[in-house]
Amino acid sequence: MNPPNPLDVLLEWCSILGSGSRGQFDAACDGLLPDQSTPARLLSRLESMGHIDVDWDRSGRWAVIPPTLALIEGSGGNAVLLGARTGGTWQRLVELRRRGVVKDLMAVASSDAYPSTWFVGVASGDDLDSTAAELGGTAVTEPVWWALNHFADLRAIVESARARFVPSGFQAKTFDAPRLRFVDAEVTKDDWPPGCFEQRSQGKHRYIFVNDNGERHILDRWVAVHAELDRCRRRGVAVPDVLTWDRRSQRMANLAGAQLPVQWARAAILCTGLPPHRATQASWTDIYEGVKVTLWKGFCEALAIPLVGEDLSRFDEELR
Amino acid sequence: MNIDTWNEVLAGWFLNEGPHRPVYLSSTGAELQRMNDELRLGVADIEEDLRLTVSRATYHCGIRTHSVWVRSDRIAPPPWLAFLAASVLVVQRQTDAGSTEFYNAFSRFLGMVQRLTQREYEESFFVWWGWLALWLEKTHEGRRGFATWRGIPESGPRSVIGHPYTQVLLRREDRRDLDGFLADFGSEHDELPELTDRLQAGLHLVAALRRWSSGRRMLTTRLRSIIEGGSESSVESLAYMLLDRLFDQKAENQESSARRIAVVPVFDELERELHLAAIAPATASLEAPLVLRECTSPMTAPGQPSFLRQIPTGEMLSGGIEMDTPPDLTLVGAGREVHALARREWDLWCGVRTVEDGEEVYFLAPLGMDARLQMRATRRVVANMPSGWTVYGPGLFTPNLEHRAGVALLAKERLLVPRLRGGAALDSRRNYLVGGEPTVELPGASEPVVVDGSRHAVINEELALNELGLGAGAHIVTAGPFRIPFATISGSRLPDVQVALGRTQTGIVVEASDETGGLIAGVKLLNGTPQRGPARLSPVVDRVTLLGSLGEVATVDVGRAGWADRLTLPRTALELAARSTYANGERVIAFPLWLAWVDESGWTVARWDLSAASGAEAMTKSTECQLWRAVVTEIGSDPAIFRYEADLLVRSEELLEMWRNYISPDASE
Repeated sequence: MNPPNPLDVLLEWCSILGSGSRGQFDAACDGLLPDQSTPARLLSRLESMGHIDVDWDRSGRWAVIPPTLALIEGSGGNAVLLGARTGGTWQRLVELRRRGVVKDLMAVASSDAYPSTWFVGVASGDDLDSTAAELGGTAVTEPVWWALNHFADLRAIVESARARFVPSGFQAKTFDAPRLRFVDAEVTKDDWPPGCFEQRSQGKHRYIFVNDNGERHILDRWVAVHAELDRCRRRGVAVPDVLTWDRRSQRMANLAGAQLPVQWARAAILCTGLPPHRATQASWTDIYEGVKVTLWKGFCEALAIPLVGEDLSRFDEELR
Repeated sequence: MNIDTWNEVLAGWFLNEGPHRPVYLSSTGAELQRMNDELRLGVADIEEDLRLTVSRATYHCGIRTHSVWVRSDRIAPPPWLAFLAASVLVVQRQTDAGSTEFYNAFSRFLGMVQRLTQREYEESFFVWWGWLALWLEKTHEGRRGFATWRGIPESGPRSVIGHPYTQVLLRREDRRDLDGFLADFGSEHDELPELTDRLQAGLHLVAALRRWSSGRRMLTTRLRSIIEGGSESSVESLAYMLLDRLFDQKAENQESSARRIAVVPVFDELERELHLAAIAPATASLEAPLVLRECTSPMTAPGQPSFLRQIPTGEMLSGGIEMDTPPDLTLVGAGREVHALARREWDLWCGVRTVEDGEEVYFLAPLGMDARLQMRATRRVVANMPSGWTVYGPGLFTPNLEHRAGVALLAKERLLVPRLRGGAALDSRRNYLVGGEPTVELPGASEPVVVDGSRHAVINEELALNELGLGAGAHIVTAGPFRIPFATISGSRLPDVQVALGRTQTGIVVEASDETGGLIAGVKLLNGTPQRGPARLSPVVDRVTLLGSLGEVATVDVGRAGWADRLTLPRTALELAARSTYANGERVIAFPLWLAWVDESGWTVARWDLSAASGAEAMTKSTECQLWRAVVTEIGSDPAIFRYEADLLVRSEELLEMWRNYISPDASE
């Protein structure tokens, strides 16, 4: 008997427990994760794939999302099962296929670093609804657009996160936008210059963005990074093109040093249901497949990123 | 002293160490003399007085009074306690004289005319030792301490008369080393394995003690002589005592250990302050914070250090700290010569019991240990630092430092007995999800391990059980004298999940119950407008025709994305991405509803804009098309996709033709 994919096992474990603490998750991962991976990284991936939500900042709690059958545009009738799933879910899907409600069923493991994607083939909207109901969940069509349209853009998010009190600046690091990495910073006590900073506080990494007016904001890491990139661009500082798109291959490339915040990463993944491929030959880059031009423009508009098309055929070999 | 007084005095002196502490009935000559002196008993020859008392009371009297005591509430000390103390004293004398003989010497001590037989011993003394353990741990619920003599088997080496041997083996100072050894390994929160061979398991612990003590200066001569070259009987007695300390304490005090809150020294590097901090237990949460009067802040997350109001003293750092606090909790900190401080989840340097190779640490230790710890003492002032103590470092921990520091062991080497680590545990009773089996850690093991009867090689002292492909059911890991049962369960039920967390418009994750609307859970909008989008699927057919607004016809694109083709996903439906045939062909019809029917040439799918029922009726009438009206009647006002098998009066081609030739009502007027 072949051992099951440990990441699928961990997702099933989350689905049975429903919710839990970071400590619980770390303990469950012990001995199950592939090399080079960490529980936090896996938790983040499960989150971007739409299986769980994580309250990273406050309680550290994670909670699995109820089963959601999301119809993927361009898939030819294949929906992706997001949220909770167990061996029982698969058995029910097999039963539905036998009854003809589900036309096809496929689990695609496209990466060792992510759980597999379950494609559920249906023939009509009614079948989509009834299949979701049989799994104890709901169906969603056009999930990408829902995700994209629901969330506020970068500037609104930054504005909403203005903070009067921020950590002290002790042993903080600053984001070097041209090089897309955090480096040691000299921040004297509570005297923050404009920029993006990382500091450990209360056992967690905090990300502080200070705009040119000296206003401080405590943000998610990737929101803070994109806010700083936006600030640099407006000041004429050259920064890398972090989100490019190739019309020919319908691929979107996102530099790993400036990843999409989770709500947009989730939308990008839902273009196919498949996780991004991490290209590691040159600058580490996440390649998302099947991204339509309108969606890419939507990402760029939301994150204040200039539109830059790019020939991404150099990744063909690595992606094959 | 008479027998009752002896029993009272022995119980008060030897068997009253306090909650969660090991007690020893180590009634050696020296200890009896110490008791005599400190309690001011005024007995001229305490050993002789014990001998006279038990011989006067007689062994048979001990047996008679035992049955009376058993039927009572058993609060008072057992009536035969002095007899057990006498057995310990005899064992000490015989051991000191280099003799292993017991029964003759003990019979003489008791003043018995006939030699005590093994059978008589088994029916009395052997049973009494067991009752004494019950008296401590059941009758007095461990408040006086827990027994350290229960591991003696009924057969095999050191059986039957092993109890007094374990009690006489170590002196007061030796036992402190034993405490340090067990505290360093800290199995308090681990589920211990079962034992298949108590002696072998005990010898395994002695071997671990030998490894632990290697190179340590503080070990007492007596203890070192036992573990490095002691007689077989001494080593076996030590083995049984270690088993008691490790296993029976665990079994009897599981509940009480959950009430113990760990206290560690904490160095706040930013504020340059030293504190004592209570470490929040696993039960602490934002919803149920633990608030202690001794702490300056509530504990809201497991592992969170919460500063104590108590300022650390040198005595606390070296000798430990133990404070009872409501509600029924005990704050317990281990005393050490050198405390290793590591910064992990929290941005504070907290006292830790295990350190990894290469981990950055500070050491909190007495002054003058720079050379030994290979780190420089800080030159800056640290508030609250006890006189004579300082912090060294920070620096990277290396195995070389382990012996120099004398405290901080690498995490992996701190295991004493096999244990299960990690895995997709479904509860705290060793039930795991199939495929998520834990790793079994096997300290000091090189021999293969048996899992469900099959032998498996051990690599780096561990075995990943999830790689064995075990099916659902009960399983047993057997490693030497240890046995760990566990079970695996398959997730055969559908998940039963409620929405717990959601994401606000600004991407912040919040409790779903805290928000009234506008949250996204996964990709689904909660409490907002219905999210179900247009139904855009149709069964796979050869020909699809779409009718848009009146007079508008569009051909559906039945192609699909390149990634889906590359993935060889099966095509189970057509996606009706309608494009208008009007001149501005880019227009996407915004609110499509579908009509569909099938004839010999396949499915036909049509879109019918029924944005208002009255409008639909008007439009239908205006076409003056009986068939079209029939279709609309059939499908109602919300058609979505439906299979119209009916006996159509006209062919679909005719319908399309009528649709194309439609003349708007306005135009006709």
